[in-house]
Amino acid sequence: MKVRTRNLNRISQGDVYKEVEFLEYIVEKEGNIEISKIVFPLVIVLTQDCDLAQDFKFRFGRPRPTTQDKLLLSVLVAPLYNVEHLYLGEHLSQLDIQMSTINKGRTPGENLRKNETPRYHYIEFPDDVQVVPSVIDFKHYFSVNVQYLKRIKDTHFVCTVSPLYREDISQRFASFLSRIGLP
Amino acid sequence: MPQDKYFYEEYEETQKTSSSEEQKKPEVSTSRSPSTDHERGPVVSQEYRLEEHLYGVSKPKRIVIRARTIHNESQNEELKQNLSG
Repeated sequence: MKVRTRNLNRISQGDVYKEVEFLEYIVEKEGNIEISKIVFPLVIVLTQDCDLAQDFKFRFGRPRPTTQDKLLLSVLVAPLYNVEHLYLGEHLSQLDIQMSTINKGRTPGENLRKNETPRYHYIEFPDDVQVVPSVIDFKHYFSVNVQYLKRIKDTHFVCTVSPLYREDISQRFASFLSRIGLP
Repeated sequence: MPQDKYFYEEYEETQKTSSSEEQKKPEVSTSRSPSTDHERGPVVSQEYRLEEHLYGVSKPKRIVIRARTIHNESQNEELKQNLSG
């Protein structure tokens, strides 16, 4: 898979970021506040690139547009899991979630690596990008606040998946979301 | 009228990890498969792959922050003065 390691000004579809926080909940009761968040080691941006481009233009462009019509509230991302953790069903063990195992050497593992399992997208990064072979789990997508992601962008950016490959990911994600479970 | 604000008197950050998790040794290989490396050309050494900065080796973790909100006494006095004045 081809990637770009140059960090652009704006958030792009296919961007991979490290250590991204997902806010689970905030509870306030009688003066006590509890905040729970999950820190994902790696996520990939799934939001359409044209939407991200328009958001950036409306947010920072000059002259300022007269409306905020194209502003996004959040950016859609999906986590990347270490494929070796995934085989063992241990990738969410620190969240006390036990996942199914996937037999690495048999058909399920082969199907995963050939991207024939709708839920998952297997990625091997080039050698100049220091990321282990990983799997996107489309079922675990979540949204991240645009301003938060913009704020951490420079320090948390890892790489961007090149357009052809990101479109493949996007198309498979859309297909997974719109699947119909027949009886 | 001034708004009440939260002041964090206590700050606690905890990370939930199960004891069994802590006892386990790293069971994950961070190297690429030999066939893949062969296809890519030069094989990157295992030592390089095991460097700490390699992304994607760690797992998602939960962080819980607990804080207590308190009323700022000086702000209370200011509020009273504003209301009486």
